[in-house]
Formats: sequence, structure tokens, C-alpha cells
Amino acid sequence: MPKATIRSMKKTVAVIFGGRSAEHDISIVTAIGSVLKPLELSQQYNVLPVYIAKDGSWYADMKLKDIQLFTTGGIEAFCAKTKKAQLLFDNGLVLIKSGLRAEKIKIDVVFPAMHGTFGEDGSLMGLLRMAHVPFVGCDMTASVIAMDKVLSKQVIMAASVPTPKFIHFSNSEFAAHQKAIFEQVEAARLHYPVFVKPAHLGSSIGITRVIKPDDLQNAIEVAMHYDDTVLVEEAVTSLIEVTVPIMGNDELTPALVEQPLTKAEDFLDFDTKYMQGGKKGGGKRGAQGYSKLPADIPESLYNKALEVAKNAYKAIGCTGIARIDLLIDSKANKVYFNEVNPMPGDLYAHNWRQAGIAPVQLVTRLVELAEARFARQQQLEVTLTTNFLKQF
Amino acid sequence: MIKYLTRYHPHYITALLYMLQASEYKPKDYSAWYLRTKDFSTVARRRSLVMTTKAKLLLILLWGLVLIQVMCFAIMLWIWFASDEVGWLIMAGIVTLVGPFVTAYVVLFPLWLGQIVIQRPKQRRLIAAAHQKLAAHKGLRIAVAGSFGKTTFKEVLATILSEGKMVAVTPGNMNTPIGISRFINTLTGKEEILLFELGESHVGDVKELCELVQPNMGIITGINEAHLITFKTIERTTSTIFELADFLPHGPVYKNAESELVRKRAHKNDRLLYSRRGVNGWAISDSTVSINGTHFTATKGQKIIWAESGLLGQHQIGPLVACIDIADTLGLSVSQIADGLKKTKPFEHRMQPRQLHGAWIIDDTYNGNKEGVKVGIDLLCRLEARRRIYVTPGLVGQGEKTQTIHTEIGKQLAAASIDVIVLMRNSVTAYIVEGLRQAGFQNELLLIDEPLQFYTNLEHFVAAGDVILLQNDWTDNYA
Amino acid sequence: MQLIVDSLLVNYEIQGDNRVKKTILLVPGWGDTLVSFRTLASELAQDYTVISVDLPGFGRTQQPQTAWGLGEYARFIGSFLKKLNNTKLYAIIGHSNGGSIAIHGLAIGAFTAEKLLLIATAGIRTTTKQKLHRRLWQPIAKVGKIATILLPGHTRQRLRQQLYKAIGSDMLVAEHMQETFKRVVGQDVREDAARLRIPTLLLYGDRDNATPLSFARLFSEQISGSKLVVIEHAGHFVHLEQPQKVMTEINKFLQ
Repeated sequence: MPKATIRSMKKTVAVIFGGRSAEHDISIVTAIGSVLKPLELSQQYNVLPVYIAKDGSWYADMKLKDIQLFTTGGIEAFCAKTKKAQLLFDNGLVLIKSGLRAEKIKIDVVFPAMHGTFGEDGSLMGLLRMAHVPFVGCDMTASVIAMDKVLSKQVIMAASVPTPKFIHFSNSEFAAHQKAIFEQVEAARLHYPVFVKPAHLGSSIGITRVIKPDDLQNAIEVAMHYDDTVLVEEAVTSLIEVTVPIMGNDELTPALVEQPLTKAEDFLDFDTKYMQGGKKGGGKRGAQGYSKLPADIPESLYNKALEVAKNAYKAIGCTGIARIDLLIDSKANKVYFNEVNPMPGDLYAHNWRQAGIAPVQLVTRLVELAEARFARQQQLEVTLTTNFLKQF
Repeated sequence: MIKYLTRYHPHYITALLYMLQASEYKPKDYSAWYLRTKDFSTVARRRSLVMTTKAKLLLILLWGLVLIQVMCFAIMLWIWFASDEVGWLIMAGIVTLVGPFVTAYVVLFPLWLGQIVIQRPKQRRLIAAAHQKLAAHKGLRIAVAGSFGKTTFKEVLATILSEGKMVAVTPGNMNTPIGISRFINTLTGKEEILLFELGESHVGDVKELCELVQPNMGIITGINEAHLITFKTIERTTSTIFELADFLPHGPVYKNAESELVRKRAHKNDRLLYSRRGVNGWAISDSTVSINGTHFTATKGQKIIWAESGLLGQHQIGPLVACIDIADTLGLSVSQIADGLKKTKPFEHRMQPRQLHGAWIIDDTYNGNKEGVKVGIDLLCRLEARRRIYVTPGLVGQGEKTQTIHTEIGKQLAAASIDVIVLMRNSVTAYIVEGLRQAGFQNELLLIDEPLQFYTNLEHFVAAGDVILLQNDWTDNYA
Repeated sequence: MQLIVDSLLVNYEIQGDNRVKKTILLVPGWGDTLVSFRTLASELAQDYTVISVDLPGFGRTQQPQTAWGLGEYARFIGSFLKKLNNTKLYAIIGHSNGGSIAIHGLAIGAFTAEKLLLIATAGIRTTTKQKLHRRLWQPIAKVGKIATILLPGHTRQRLRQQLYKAIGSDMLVAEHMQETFKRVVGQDVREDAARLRIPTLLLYGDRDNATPLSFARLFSEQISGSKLVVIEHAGHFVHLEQPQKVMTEINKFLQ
């Protein structure tokens, strides 16, 4: 028989969203549409929305569940009159809502529904580790690696997972030794076209496709505008871009291999990725606009893509959930790792659903995975505890 | 105590209006619901109020009543202040105490008055006019009666007969003397076939309707415990529905052999007893059911019909073959009948499939009887699916048998090894769960506290490849 | 596409082949973006290389650090073209304030072009009607400023917005650029226009309230050898309202 759920025994899941990143708004959509709602509908948890405003202030209030609060712009007035939430580390995470009578809310699990800087790059994960509370999605180390394109490619290469050839350099290096850098590009024998990318940003902001060496300078300038590390990477020819959401700690469950449909442009930019998502007809709606689900590729290639994605997920040390972006050379039948998204927008619920996992199942499983990882970490901590000081 | 205080919350007024509307302004149902309700803040959880003119007028009246009470209260307090007689304070207290009840019941008065003065005479004139009009009409009259399945039967028959005849049919659930009279008054006189659905809730209802429509042919689609509260015993239900057969002692009356109560009452050798095996010489073979519909072959002598109906479920074969026989008797060709069958589609909220993100939702929320639950579970088992999900609040108005019926449903569900069972939590939930337990159900069970939330957010519960059957919608007045 | 020009991130689009054919630059008006030129650009791209750009502060180009005037905008376009290695323009097409920038830029030699096309171009700042307008509103604005001094900040801002809306000012089209706006609309380009010596076509809508036909006439007097074409049934956004007519005129002029 199923577990009887008694209200008072329900665990409290805090869904953290918003944040001080360029993807603040997308995080709101992810949190309210794809996390809060199904978590509540599961009836298994008390769900607490925790909103981080653009200025970094934290708010915890049930009113934050309403998307209208954000779409109508009422959020500013709300933040102005609502008391900010305080964090208390009390062998676990406690949120304090100050007021006439301060309300203390013990958080059992945190569900970060954040994208980009601070939320997805390991910063929040570090905070939650310090607080000693289980949280959904990749742990700190994997998040840090994932959000750095250079680091993740280096890790991937060390695990013998194929990824396009690249060089990287910092802004100061470029400023000081421009000529040397161009020579480095030459020496690396990168074939044009190449992509010039800022190392850290998640979406395709600041990425330029460069066809000939003359245009390299301008593209590097643009990338440097966004980040202090830039990579120049060989473009994959006969390209098919696919992406695979994967869930799990040790045992991995991949969703379907999805093929985002690019427009006439060579690749997606921020606009097509988020702003126009699903506004026009045709294709599947998702955080990425339109896509073929499952990808329209031969079965052998499809399986190879799944394999590469799983290997990449393991190599980077992802847990909970992540989405692996792959580049396929459809002529050479080769699959390359491109990058990894520790917190895919929308959780890629549309893909999971096609793979047979309903949104309610998805979020509850993610919470369970978070608790499982936490329990294992605690076991490790117990074995490591020493009584060093008492020896004296 | 806090629950009691909900009577003084502004929502109370809206709740009263909602209760009136949901009980179709029937004082008895309304009153029973009112007396049963303890917490008025939870009323109107399943559906919401529809603001009709009537509702608006009543809302004004309700608030008027509240206003009068508040004024009385204020005046009494004022007098008490002025005169210092404690009697006035007590009076004010009494007003406060009885106020909500007065409001709840006084609102019935104008409704009752409207009935007597305006509606009743108007209705009598309407029925008289219909009587006259029908007397001069040359069309063949077919009447459909039964506790369940009559609307579907009527619509299916109309669809098939329309392939060769001019057919007029009572729309929707218009099955009372008033509704049918309104329908008759819209006839042009050219119709060849008139199809009537006869409603029943009290003894004599079917007879009264038969006298109005004077049928030449009848169909009894099934009998069950529906309206048992008004009928008191199942025997009375049976004889009321069989008033149609009584009215046509010699005329053809088709009867559903798959309904036990109908079969018992009918003669064993009645050739017009229909079932999934056939009727009146028609034999059924090769039947299959998929999400796209029900297919079978019907044979009678030289006549062969390959039937492809959009209706879902083995249980549809009986009514379909009865329709085939009626159409055949009325002179339609085999190909006309086959064409008609192809046009039969599920009706709204009756075994109606629709896609949702790659999952199939079968909407059978208008079903309200245990026979329907049985065929529903049966259908769910037969369909290809990644997960089979069954959703129900249980059945309404089953009287004394509520417990046994729901325990039985639980057992059926367990036996069918449905993957996920979703129950809207209410008074019968425990019985279904008990049935599940007895039959050793091991799969997932979900108890839902907020049905409206669940139904409107169905998309969050489904994934591609799931088949979800939704049965038996409840209104609040049964909560 | 993106580019860094004078430390600003600039969004632009190039259509057509930028090596073989003659180049045309499209400059949008105040608060407007290259998007409103897309149809026009793709038609022109059949015969020319077409560059359209979001001016700093608008669309997806970064906002300038300080308040800019027409001069800064004109020099910006110069640097932008240099960055693209495309300094020899065949023609420049400006709409509204984009037209003013084009006139000013050509006059100060920030860039060069063989032909100039001005669509509903602004830059005439002191007609009698405008003077009257200003004389009427300025005291009211001053009084308003003092009268509302005690009101809370956001209420005051809302009042201000309503006022500007009421008098039909472009000030709040781009609120973040108020200082730049004041500088830009303070500059009259009639003198600059008088110095132009290239074939110039003026396209104005007959129903334009923002840049009325009187502007068109003043410009056509100033620019020697210019041609004025009035497009019927069009307001300020001539190229969006009557794209066909505008295209025909442009083709005639450019050939």
C-alpha cells in the first residue's frame, strides 16, 4: 500500500528562483511553471517559494507562487512592502520571516530553479552545502565545472569523451600578447569556421561564428565584452545539434535525444532561445523554441549520442539532473560534447513527458535524488569525524 | 467554532447562491445540502458560480437581506443605547444569531412564488400546445427510456437513421414534459422519424411522457440504482422504466440484455433483447476495441455489415447492433447503415478520447453508474498504454449500497492491475481503498484533496503513452 | 550580429554580399530599432549590401555612458563603419532622428555617401508652432515640478509620465535616455543640410504629425538639388505604412 501522507509530516521543499543573473526572468518561468506547480500537485510536500530579487534580497511567501505577480510587474511593489527573509544555519536551513511574530520555517529540501550566475554556477550550491541541507540538481563541483566551458571541455577530454578542438585565453593575455594569441590559433591548426565564445555564459550570448581569420579580432572583442576568458573552437561540419536531458545520481535515466531547430541563422541566440519560445506555431514548445523530439537521426547515431551524453554526465560528476548539449557531424557519424546545463530551463519537462515521465513524477524523483545524495554524503561525514582535539 | 463563523463571512452569500444554482433551485436538495454543510468557506470547490440573470437577481436579494439584518441590528443597538433596556441588546443578539439562517431560507420564497404564479400556468399551456401539434404529426415516434445510456443510444440511432430518413431528436438532456413539449413545438411536420428521450425520477414519469409523445417503438437501455433516493426501491425504478413497455404491449420494444434488471424483467425469448452477441437474428463476430473506436462484424442471413464506430468499448456493441436492426427494419440499406455507423463519435464527457501531450485522456465524467465503471475499467485494460491511470471520485447517490458498490469497484480496479489509481477524497474513498486492500492492490494510489486543481492541472500528471480514464464527476452537493 | 565599437556592444545586421555590391546603411529613428527596417533591408539586399544597426541606447546595442548629442551619434556611425571595413557608402537611409544623424554626420565628415535618402526626417527644432508649444508648456512644467515636490517618488514619476504622454512628447519613449534626448532634440540640422552636395531624396507622409510636411519643405529648400516626394496615406513611419510606394521611390532614386 502507498504511504499515507499526513499533512504535518510533509517535508518542506523550498523552491529558490529569480536571482542576480541575466536569466532571472527565465528562472521565474522555470520555477513557477515546472517546479512549484507539479511539486504542489504531488501533495507530498509543503512547497515554499523563495524568490531572490534582482538586487539579491531573499523573499519567502506563498504569494510568490502566482506568475501574475511577475507578469503584471506587481513584484516590485510586493518586494517594497514585504519583509525580507533571513537565513539561519541551524544544522540545516531555516528561513526566518520577520514580522510582528517572527516565523521560522525549517527547510527539508531545497529545489534551486535558477539559471546562470550565482544560481547555476555552484555559488548557491556552496551556500546550501554550508547550510547542511539536501538540494536538487548538480552539486557544487559539477556546477562549477559545467558553467565553465573551458574547464568542462578539459574534464571531458581527460575522460576521453570527444569534444571539438579549441584554444582559450584570458582577456589580459589577449590585451598583452595579441599577436601571440593569433599565432596560437594558427599553431593549433583550427579549421575555419570557428566559434568564438565567452567561457562562462550559459546561453549563446556573445558567441560569434567566424568564417575567416580577418573577422576573428572583432569576434574576440565581443566575447571579451561578456567574460574574462574566451575560447576559440573549431566548428563541427555537417552539423546537427542535439541535446539530452539526463536524470540520476549513479543510475542514469536519459530522456529523449532532442534536436532544437535552428532558424536561418547559424545557431540560436538569446532571442530565439527564450524570447520567441513557442510564440509561433509548429514544432514543440520548450525553453528552446522549436525542436524535433525525438531527434531525426539514424538509430546508431541516436544511441551514440545517448552514450556520449551519459559519459559526459558522469565525467563532469553531475547528479540529480543536467542537460548535455552535443554536436553531431552527420557525415562523419561523430558525436562531440558541446556543453552541459546543470539546470535546464523548464527542467526540459516537455522532453521528459515525451519520454514517459510526467512533470509530477519528474519533480518528486528529483527531490528523492537530492535526499539520496545527501544521505550518502552524511554517511561519509560520519566516517570522517575525528576527535583530534580530545587527544590532548 | 471557526467553521461556524464562516456564516458571517461575505463568501457565505456567494456559497448560498452557488448551492442554489448547483442544486438547480430545488428547495429540497438545497435545504438538505445547507443543513449538511458545516464550513461554508469550502463550498464551491469543484465548479464555480455561473452569473445568470437569475443568479444576479438572487444575489441582490441576498445582500438586501443581509443589509436589512445589519440595519435591524444597528437600530436595536441604538435603541438599547438610548433606552438602556437590556431587551433590545438581547434582540440584537438574536438577530445576529438567526440572521444567516433567515437569509438562507427567505431567499427560497421568491423562487417558490415565481413557480406558482408564472412558471406553472405557462408550462401547462406549453404542454397542451405540444399535444395538439403531435396529434397531427405523421412521423414514426421512437422513445428511449432507461436509467443510463439513453442519451448515447438516442444520438447513435439518430446518426444512423439520418443516412436514409429525416430525423428529429430531443436535444441534450431535454427529457421532461416541459423539455419535450418545447422540442415538439419546434417540429416542421416533415420529419419521418421522431426520437424522444424519456426522463424518469418518480413513479409514473415514463407513463406520463408516453401519453404525451405516443411512441410507436421503444428502447429500454438499462436499469440501475440511479434516482434510488426518489424511487425508494429498485423494483419501483424497474416498473417505472417498464411503463414504456406497458404502453406498447404489441409494439416493438428493444431491451438491453446486458443490464441485469432489464433482462430479469423481460421474457426469456424476447427477440428484441440486445447484447454484444446480437439481436433479432443479427450475429456479432470479430469485435476489437482501440483508442480509435470499436469494430465488429454483424451478420443476419445474407446481410453483412462491417461496423466501424468511433464509440469506445465492447459495451457499445449491444446498442449499436440494436440500432442496426432498427435501421434495417425501417428500410435502410446495408451500406447506409455502415456509413451511419462510421459517423458515430463519442459524445462529450462520455468515453470521449482526446490527446494531451502524447497521452490519451478518456473523458467519461458524465458516467455515474457502476455498470459504466465496469465497462470503463474493462476498456482501460484492453487499450495499449505505458501506464494505465484511472481517476474517479466514486459514484453518487447509491443509497444503502454505497459501501458494497465502492468496495467492489476497488476490487475490480485491483484485479485489473491498473498502474495508478487517483481518487478524489470524499465519503466513499475509504470503501474503494478497502476494496483495493482486500484484493491486494500493489500499485500507485493517489488521493486528491483538491479535485478542481487536479482536473485543471491534468497535464502535470501525464506523460506520453499514458492512458487516463476520467469517470464520474461529482458536484459539491454530494461532497 | 555583434561588434564592439568604442567599447560599446553593438547589434547590427548585414544582408546581401558585402564584398561585391554597393553598400547601403540604414539608420533608425529615436527609440526605434533595426527591426522596423527588416522588410526594406531584405528587398534592398537583392541589389545591394545592406547594413542596419541599432543605435546606442536602443534595441540590443548598449547605452552610451554619457549623454550623447547628434555629433557623438554621427562619429559612432563613422567608427562602426570603419570597424566593418566598409567606409565607402553608396547610400545612407535615415528615418526621423536617424535622418538628422545622417545629415549631421555627412556635414561634419564623420562618414561619406554618394546618395542620401531621408525618410520623415527630424532636425528642425524651432518652427513657430513648436516655440508656441514650448512657451505654453514650460511654465506649466515648472509649476508642476514645484507643486509635486512633496509627493512620493513613484507617484511623481507616474504623474510625469502621464503629462508627457498628454503632450505627445518622445521623451519617455526611452526613459533611460532622457539627457541624451534633451541634447539630441536641442540640435537643429538645417545649417548642416545646407552644406550637403549629394543627390538627396526626401520622403514624407502626408499625415505625419511628428515630422510634418513643413519640415520636408524646409529641408528641400536647404538641400540644393534635393527631391521631395510626399507619400499619401502615411504617417510618421512611412516605410512601414506604405512599404510598396516607398520601395518604388527608393529604387528609382538609387538607380
